[in-house]
Amino acid sequence: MALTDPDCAPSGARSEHLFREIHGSSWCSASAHQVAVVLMACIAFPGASALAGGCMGDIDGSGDVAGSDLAAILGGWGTNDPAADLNSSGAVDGEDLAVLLSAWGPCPAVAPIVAEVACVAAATAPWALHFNSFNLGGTVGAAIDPVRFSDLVGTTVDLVVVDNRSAAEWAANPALTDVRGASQALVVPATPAASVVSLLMAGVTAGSGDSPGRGFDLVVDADRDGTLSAGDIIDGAGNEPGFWYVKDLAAAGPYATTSIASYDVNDADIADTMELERIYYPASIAALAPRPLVVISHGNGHNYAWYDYLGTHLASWGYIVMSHQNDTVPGIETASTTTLEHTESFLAQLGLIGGGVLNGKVDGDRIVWIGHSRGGEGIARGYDRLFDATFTSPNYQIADIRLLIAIAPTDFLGTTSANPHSVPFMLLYGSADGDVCGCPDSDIGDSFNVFERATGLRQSTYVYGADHNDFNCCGINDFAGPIGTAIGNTEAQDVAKAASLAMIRTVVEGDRSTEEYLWRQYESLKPISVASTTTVVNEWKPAPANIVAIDDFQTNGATTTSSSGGSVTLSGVASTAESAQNDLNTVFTWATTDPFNGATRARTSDATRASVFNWSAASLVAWTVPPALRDFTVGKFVSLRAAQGTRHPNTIALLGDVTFTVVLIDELGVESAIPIAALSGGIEEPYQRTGYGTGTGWQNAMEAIRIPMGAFRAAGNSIDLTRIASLVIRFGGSNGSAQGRLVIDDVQIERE
Amino acid sequence: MQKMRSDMKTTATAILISLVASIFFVSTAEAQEVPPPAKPPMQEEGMPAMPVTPASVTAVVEVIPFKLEKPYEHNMRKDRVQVTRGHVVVLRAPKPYLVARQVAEPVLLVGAQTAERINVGDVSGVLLVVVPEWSERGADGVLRAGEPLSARMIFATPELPERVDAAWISRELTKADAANIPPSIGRTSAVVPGFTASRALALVDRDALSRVLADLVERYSPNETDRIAALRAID
Repeated sequence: MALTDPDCAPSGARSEHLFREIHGSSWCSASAHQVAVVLMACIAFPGASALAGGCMGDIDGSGDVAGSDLAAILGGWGTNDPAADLNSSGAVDGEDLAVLLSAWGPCPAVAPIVAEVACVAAATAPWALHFNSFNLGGTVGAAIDPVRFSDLVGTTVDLVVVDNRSAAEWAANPALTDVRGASQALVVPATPAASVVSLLMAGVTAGSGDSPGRGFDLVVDADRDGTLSAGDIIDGAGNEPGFWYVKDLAAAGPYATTSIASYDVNDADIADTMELERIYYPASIAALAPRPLVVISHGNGHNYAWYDYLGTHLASWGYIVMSHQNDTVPGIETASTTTLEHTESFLAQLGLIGGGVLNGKVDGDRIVWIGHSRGGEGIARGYDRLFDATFTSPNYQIADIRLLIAIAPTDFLGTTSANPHSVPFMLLYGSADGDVCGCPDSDIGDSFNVFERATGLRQSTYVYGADHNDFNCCGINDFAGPIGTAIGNTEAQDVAKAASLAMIRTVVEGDRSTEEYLWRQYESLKPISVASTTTVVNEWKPAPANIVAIDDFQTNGATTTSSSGGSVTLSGVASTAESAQNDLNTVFTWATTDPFNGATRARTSDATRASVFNWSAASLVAWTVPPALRDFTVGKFVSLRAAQGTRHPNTIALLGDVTFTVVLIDELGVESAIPIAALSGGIEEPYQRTGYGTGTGWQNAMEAIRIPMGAFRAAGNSIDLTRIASLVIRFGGSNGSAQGRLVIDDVQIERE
Repeated sequence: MQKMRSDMKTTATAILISLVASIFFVSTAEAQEVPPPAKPPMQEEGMPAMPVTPASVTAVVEVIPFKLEKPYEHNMRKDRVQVTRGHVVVLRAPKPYLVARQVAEPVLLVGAQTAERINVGDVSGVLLVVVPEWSERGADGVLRAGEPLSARMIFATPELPERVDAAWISRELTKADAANIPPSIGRTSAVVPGFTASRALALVDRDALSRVLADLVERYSPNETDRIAALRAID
């Protein structure tokens, strides 16, 4: 594959960063010459020549990692050439390049093997899922693939947990120092089903500095010599750790906090009655480097003093938080003006606020807007005004707004104005919202409309049993749902604290330790203090640059053709339709004439589309992958999102998570199948709320399914992931739920 | 498909459904479907149902004229106005009209003017509003300043006040006519015993008015401590 191919692999770490610094673009848009120039720059990068992490990069066996090995990488770029595929990812890409660069120079006498070991156990094949985030006090799994490492089966090895080291640090110090005080002996099991063991983590702490996550490298010390050496296996050989051990995201962070209860900005551009702010920040701010700013814009009839839980929480994790009076009663334009103007005034008055305690301490290039209900729409409208340049500020610009978090936003203004555009966007939303209800009779109360318009990275945290005012301290109880399902505001706020912190850490800080909390099944990974009985449905969609769409249903509207141009075969499924995600009438009663019943995600002017069908016997949907997209090793995940059809008889009959099996088939017909039950959970049933017609079940709850590409490699043995001919979802029979109705969208490969 | 509000005619809904259905492919292999369970789970509804509009306020408790040396902008209507004179009106209304709503909050009209809600009042049942001076033409054709007590005070159709203009207000007043909603002064029960018609307060600016409002909210709706504190914190 040419480097100019749009599907070329992303690279990571320092070399990619350096390339961006020089060319302002990614590897994927590079010419071979550009890459070669940067490679030389990388080699000359101070310290690079000292990196010697073993002989992982010595492709030609010459005894050193040198230009000839670099040539081999370039020659094999985009292929699965095993000689050049240094990290055994199935593709020669930027990560191999990073490994090579980290090993540049003479070979030491050791050559550890890079592989994923940390994992979550699965009840079915592939038995081990190599996720990277684990809760403090929870189970951290480790698995040695008995097929790939057959020579180790039956032997005793030591599992060693080491504080994360960079490649350079490993080169300088290969000694294995287990943070637990002693390594853990293991007789390597013979079968994949028995391969996962639990690491003994008692007494190990989590978190590191401002981050909730503490990174570890996990080493299989095969020769038990206490040194990273030839034949050992390392998970975390590069600069990133093999896994993170993560604190409770809903608990207070490392900083004591303080606040200014009420500060009046006295700004002529803000209505006289809307000038107050409440400010939260770390008590030790004087000793800290400038911190990102989080702005909270409340909803209608709410109060700027009602978000202490969130302001204090984020301040405890090192953020400066300003909650302001929000002019929501007149409407969304006034609300957006208040957000825009308060952000400006706050930045302008840092020398005055609290006697100047925050002066020089706010990183005005990293701003997060959080808005609730009308305030949630207000922040989207505010961003739109920056986008349209109908509002400009001397103190910040659109690029400084790094993230929007909308809590149950309204949608008064519609497609063109309540629009987050490409800024990373998060939706926090309760299924028992008695106000912005997600009802079928009005677009204004459909928060998912705003979410669907976001074209950049987006995440949705949909909280069953939470109502509108659970996300502030003091609003009216608006709970609307089945008796006994209310989770209460303490629980809802724990979910909100954890999710917003995870999103801010991930997006604004580039902290990878918190990302998995935003897309893994809640049954698999949830914040520690959130109850196991609380149901949360996560959606996650990367920015377009990180997606290769097999079928996003936005074009080629026939059910038999994918948006990428391949054919789609539907066998055994019924009531199939492909259209906008827009419930067509004013009720949630199931009707065959309203195939997207429960889809409260689009106005007529919105673009989001999906597919829907049902089954009650073994059936499938199969996408033929166009030749240009068949190299799945460009991605880290196979992904889709799905929701159960509201009040459809199959949904009602099942009344539980829907499961199915995702299958990749290569050009030689080799299959690899992953039942999504292996991820824990499945596609959640709709919240069992009544109203708007007969029957039970609320709006469609889209849920992300992300299957690590490595799982297909592990489950499929010899499958060639560089030549995937078809992607199939099998339903019924042994493939999962016997019946169901699903809305499916965004069948895709995800790079990150 | 643009969604319809629930008050639209059922026949229109049915026609629309049929029309849309005709453009969708629906498999002939439709699965055998079973009826939904007869007894849905018991539900809670915390938010009062949306009440009908137009509707009159229940009672007028107090009307306080004011005048300001420095004007402020009234942004509760599309054609914003600078305010130097107006009235603070203390009124009572049923809870469903007072709870803070995001999606469907009725616009409160006093005569032909939009009123600015100062508090929520859902617990106390008392709402304070600020009504900028407005003028309206009398039966004799003469333009006069509106008087709250002789005007209708109605909860009109839910809408964002910033999108409301004179034409919208006129339509809502016509609806009030059709609903036979009388002016407050025309209803003997509307003005509570002990009603006070104060002399005009002469204040410097809106901040000074806010401090007066803080005292009034504290008197009439004391549970709204955050709102009171916010009104007092303005300097």
